[in-house]
Amino acid sequence: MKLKFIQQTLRSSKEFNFFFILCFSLGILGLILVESFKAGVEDRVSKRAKNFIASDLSISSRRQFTEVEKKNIEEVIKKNNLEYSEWIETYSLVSSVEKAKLADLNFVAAKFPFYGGVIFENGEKSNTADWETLSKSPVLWLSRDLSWELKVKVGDQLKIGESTFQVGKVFTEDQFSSFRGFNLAPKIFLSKNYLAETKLMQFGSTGSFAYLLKINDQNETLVRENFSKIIKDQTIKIKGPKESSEQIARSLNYLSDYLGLITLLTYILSLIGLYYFTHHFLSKGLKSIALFKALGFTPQKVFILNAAHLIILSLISLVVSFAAMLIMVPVLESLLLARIGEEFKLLFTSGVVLKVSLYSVIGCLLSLLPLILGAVKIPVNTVLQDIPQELKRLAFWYYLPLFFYVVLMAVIISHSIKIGIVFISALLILVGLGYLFFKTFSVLLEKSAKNKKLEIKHGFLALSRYFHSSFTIFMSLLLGVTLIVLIIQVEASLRNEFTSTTELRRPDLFMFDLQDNQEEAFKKLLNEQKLNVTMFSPMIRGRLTAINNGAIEQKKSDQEETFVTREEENQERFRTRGVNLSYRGKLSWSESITKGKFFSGRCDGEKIPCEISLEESYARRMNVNIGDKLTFDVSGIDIVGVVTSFRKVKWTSFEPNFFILFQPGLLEEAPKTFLASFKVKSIEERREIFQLISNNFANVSLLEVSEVVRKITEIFELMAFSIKIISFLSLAVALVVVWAVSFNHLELKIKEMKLFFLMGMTAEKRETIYKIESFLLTSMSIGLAIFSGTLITFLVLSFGFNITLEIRALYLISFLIILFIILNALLLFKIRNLVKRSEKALITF
Amino acid sequence: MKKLFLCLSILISFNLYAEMSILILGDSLAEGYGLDESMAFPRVVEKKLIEKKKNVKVINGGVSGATSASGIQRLKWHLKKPVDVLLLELGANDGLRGLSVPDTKKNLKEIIKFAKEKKVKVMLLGILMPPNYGADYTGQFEKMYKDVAKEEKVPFLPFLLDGVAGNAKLNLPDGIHPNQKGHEVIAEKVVNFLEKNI
Repeated sequence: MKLKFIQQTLRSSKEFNFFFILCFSLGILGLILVESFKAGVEDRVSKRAKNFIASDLSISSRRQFTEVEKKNIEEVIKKNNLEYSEWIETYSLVSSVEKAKLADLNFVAAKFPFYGGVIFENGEKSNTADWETLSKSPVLWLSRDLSWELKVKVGDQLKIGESTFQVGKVFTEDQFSSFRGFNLAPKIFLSKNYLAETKLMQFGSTGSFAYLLKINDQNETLVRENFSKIIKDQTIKIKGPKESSEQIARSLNYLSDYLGLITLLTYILSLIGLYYFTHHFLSKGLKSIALFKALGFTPQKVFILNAAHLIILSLISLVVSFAAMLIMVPVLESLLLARIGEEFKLLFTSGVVLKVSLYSVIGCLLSLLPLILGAVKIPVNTVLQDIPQELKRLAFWYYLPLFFYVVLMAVIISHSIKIGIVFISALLILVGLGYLFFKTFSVLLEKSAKNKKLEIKHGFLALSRYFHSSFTIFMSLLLGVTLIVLIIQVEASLRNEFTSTTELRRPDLFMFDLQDNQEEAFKKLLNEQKLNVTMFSPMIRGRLTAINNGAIEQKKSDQEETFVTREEENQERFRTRGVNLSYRGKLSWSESITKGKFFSGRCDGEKIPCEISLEESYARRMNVNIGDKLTFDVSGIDIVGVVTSFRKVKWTSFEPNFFILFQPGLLEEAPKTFLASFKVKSIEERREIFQLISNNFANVSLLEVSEVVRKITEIFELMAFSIKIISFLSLAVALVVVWAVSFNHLELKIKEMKLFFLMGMTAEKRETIYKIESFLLTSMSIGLAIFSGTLITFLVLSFGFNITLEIRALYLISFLIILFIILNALLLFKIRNLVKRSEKALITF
Repeated sequence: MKKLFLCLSILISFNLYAEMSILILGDSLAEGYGLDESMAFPRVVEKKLIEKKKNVKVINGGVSGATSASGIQRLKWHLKKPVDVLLLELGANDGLRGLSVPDTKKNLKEIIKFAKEKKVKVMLLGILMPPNYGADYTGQFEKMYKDVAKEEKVPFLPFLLDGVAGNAKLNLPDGIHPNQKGHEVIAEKVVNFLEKNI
């Protein structure tokens, strides 16, 4: 019986069903696209991270495996039918005829590596045959930096431990270096078969010992579990790509979180659309509901029938959007391939399907069930009344579950209570401001409409006459266009941050551990050799012991900690580590004062405490304010300072900087070392600097950072590009929802159009009324969106990325004008169509 | 005469009960890398000595990553306050970074000489390089400490990490730095060494 009624309802409301499914499918499609893109990005990172461990899974230890452990591990490998290799990494002195240098030795077994490789001097990437040759012969491959330092070339001999190896190849880049990239020494690859001959591995030797596994068709979780069962020692780590790329993952998590929030906005838009359609549908069907009740249906039954109708529509929408996604995946992937020049997989997995289905259905029910609750409250006697009925509006608390659900989604998606709440607050403020703006504007229009021509008057009055639906269109457009402004400006700001101004100053080499007594000699060398030093700074090691005389409690860092939110994780990371202090009297080009005043000259030493300038995010995390007194333990002596300013540091300059800067005059005598960064023009210059530093300051370490800088820049490039892609996808969804709602809004007016026709108004004038309304709605929402979008972009960039806002006014305005024209053209097309339809359908009035 | 005797008695008793200041100038081992500073061996040494009713104050002059080259400047800084005994625990990072052994020797000798000039009693805490650094280098490194101790005539503890290095139960997962138990073992050794040489 119930099924029959549901079938009948479905059949009798084809138009509503169509718009519901269209609107919701688009909203869901946005969610699927973002979730698939996020999964794709994670997969991409994971694949790159596999390079770091050269495998799918590694079992590693900082000590040699015992014979029992080896036996057990190899048994599981055999049982699970896995391919494996071995990798032993240790540090040792490597000697050429001229010199001895520390090197990072990598002894590799046959089949190494399953992923990644090295790039040789000639630009070619290592292949399987190269590695096979290496694993069978007493040759080694060494990094270019080391070949310079040892003054060796291919064919020369190098002594390692008790054995001698021939230089087989020289490489310039290795993909096994993680995002952190800073190794203590340059790398050498050589065969594990010759490790015993070197006699380097004895009791007390340090190194990293790893089994590398290739997982083909096996279930990774199961394989992990099998190994976990036999490995009792917790110092033996089972690592997959995720664990090996924690830093990349942390950066990309920020990206996914922001992308997720953009999608959430689109999803909310689609819920607004659904709410609007359902409200309209139920209002029209109030009489039928009253009739059902008159026929003896209980309100609960009527509620269930309507809810079942909406659930069926939601499920159909899910199926439609999943089907659309299946069609779109190859198209989008080829577009991505063309754009980024690399294969990018959109991962439409079962996990994504489940997640999106859950998000969608819960949101849909929470937003629409209160409407049905209102509808079933219609009195039975209205069946006999010949007046239009209005849907009973329910109190706001019926919508509280939906509100909390959206807040919860925002927190879950952003993995941060703070960001989630800021997002929801921003959204509420935007809706509130939008409402105030729209209400004021419609009242003003109403007042000014009095003496205007008939068509202008009706055009002006349209907003207040159909306030509910006009406001929905206005808000949907406002949110959609705010997204456009956000996308364009976030993308432009990120691009500007990473490419334009700072590229020329980005360092290629870092130097550290120059001692106090070497400072003068170093400066002399700089002058003589005309080296391009981009930064030279003292560094003093200290420990923050008290804030305003209150001691800082430090947790044991060897304890396992689990963090629920990102804030907790950050706070703990900041709280427990020692700090590096520095001093200088001038701001660097890559920093600016955001609060307080920078140092007032030199601290005279007598006038203790001296001034401190803190990096603003550090100050925020440590909960320190201007005027607070900080005490540092610097090599057993307490140093006290007062915070007088906060600095904003452009970290993307890659110029080394410090969270804590002291006023000059206090720390000069403290034990310190110096840091410097160099910008080099060519490989030859790089080589020259390596040799100069190595010859003149043996204790000083020099690191090549250009490769690490390039890797970080690449991550941010992907970030900027992803934001663009995802946001445009979300925007497209938002615009279609707006379009659908607007059309439905115009459909509502067909009766009014017929009335105007009957009054003898010409088609041209009737068109003008709705053109004015469309013009007002689109121009108002676009105008306000420029302001709100810029404000949100500023907030996102300042608090999320700590990046300066880059306004692309010309590009933005041109884009919005085009959007405005397209929207109005589409609406005009629909208006003309409806005006004609209203004349033809007069008979059905 | 009575007055003079009284003055001398006061001076002697003051000296007997005066706090002895011990500076441990070192690297991450002294700093207590990966642990709270209160668990690092300098603090444990202080605790143990106080438990033995010794009036001492131990200054933890450990800085992670410090090499012997930084020692002299850091010592000058610490000597702004009175120091009676210097336990020199530097050189491990020189070795781990493969720096020149003669340079490390020169730096250590310079630190010892400077401390002696300032009337500070010096004791040397030696370290051995792991065998993976090669027999040549580890041999040179071991000999270097012995030579410094002999040439400068300072008490010498040949291997600070004896019984700790290579024992997974006494080290952090990095296999290099001692854990809390490891620091306890080191502290015990250092206390014995101090008691024998003061």
